[in-house]
Amino acid sequence: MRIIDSHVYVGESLFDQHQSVEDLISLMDTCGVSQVILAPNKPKTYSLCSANRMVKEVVKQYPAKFLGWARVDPWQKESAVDELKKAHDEYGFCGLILHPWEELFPVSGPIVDPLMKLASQYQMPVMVEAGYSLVSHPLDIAELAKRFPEVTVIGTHGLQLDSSAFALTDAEIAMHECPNLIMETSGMYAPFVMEKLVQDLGVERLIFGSHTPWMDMRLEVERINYLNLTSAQKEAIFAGNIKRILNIE
Amino acid sequence: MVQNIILDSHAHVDVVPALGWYDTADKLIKLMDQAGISMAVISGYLNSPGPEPDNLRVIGEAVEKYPKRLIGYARLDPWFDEECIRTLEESVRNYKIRGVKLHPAHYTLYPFGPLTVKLAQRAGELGLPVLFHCGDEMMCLPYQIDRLAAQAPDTKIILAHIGGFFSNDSALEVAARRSNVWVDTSEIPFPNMVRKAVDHLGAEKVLFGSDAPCCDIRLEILKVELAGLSLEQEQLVMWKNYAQMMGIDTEELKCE
Repeated sequence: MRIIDSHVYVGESLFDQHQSVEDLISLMDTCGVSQVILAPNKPKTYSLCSANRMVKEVVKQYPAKFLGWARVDPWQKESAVDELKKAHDEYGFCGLILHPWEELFPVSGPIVDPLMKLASQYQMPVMVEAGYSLVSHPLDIAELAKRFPEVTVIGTHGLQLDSSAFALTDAEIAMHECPNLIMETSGMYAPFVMEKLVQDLGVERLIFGSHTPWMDMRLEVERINYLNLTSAQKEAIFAGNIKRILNIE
Repeated sequence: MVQNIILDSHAHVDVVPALGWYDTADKLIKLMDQAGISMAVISGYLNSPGPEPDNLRVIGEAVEKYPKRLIGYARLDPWFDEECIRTLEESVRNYKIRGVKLHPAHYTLYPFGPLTVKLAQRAGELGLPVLFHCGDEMMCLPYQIDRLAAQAPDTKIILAHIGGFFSNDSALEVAARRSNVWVDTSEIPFPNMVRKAVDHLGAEKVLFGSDAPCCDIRLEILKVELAGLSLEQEQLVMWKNYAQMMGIDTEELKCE
């Protein structure tokens, strides 16, 4: 079964989440992952522009294995918009990734509007690091998705990181309210919620991601394999849905 | 499979239509069989005393039905003070309760406040461990529970989820500084944190837990397998530590 991992970070990391390209390729081979959409770690220099350039070089070196997420800091305002333009027009990146926790902004706030408008214009998906309650609670992401219904918004971690399971309800509400919202599966510990969403909303609304190296690609692949779904449904989560979203083969 | 015996120190049985949770004992036993779990600790989703009178009966009946597979904990609300303690004592007699589960965010009390300390001390006198939901939310933070552990030194305290998604290092620090504190591996998606816990605390302080049926037991086992532990460490985590804590006859388990 083809597996595309939509959610992996690479490069040196300000937060000690380093990931080399060589180790990543080895891990992909171990896990049977054929393609990865790469986002740059926040580097020690804090320069996301240089980090995006690093990802561009990796994608250029291994075009069959990697695609790129453009990572920008909305607080950089016009510069962030310019960087997203460059990442799309020159680097060929396929989407925008927002990390409200590491860049410290509320994802439901107007600070993201210029970037969302550009993503809309480019028809590119926007992945949001979800579950950081102060900045990206599931209902914050729902607000964002509702303000930009034409943009495909992907919420990571099953939209939450709540070990009490309270936020599972909010995640389900967000998914039901926002047809343009996609759930990425890394660390999503509640299989019955994913199975129910497939049943209620269709399998098209889930995509596989691992959030490597913070999380573990080996475990995250099995998270999907263990779901009580058909092979065709798992194939859609592993690869079919993200191929459709990105319009890739 | 890691080895023949697995003791799951953290699972649930309860049926609460208002929350949409229908986790019966039969359902859990099927999942345990599928994953090769010998015995599991169960607690409910509602606190006692609470909105449902005598809701510990569900746990008592599950343990009565599966006495060799399930170990019952009472999920309690310390706000009820003496009534809570009476509930615990009665449940030990009536429902073979062998531990306490506390989720302070459900009832909103400081874990280190006098009501919870009194309950934890009484649990210790009865020889019952106290399993805390321990995560990233207020009332459940590792350093809050640390202050309880200091006031109930004779009570065995377990910090679930190695502190959740973000409070892992704090949970490990608390378990390292307190001889009466353990951690359980349930729910979090971090094999490397299981490894870090074993390295930091020694394997003797780490208990396997699944938080089933909310979480997939097979995935919870795989997480420990991916942690890169020695066979001896794995066996301590997967069953020996909990068997020792509860005085479980593992020779009998091997014969099951």
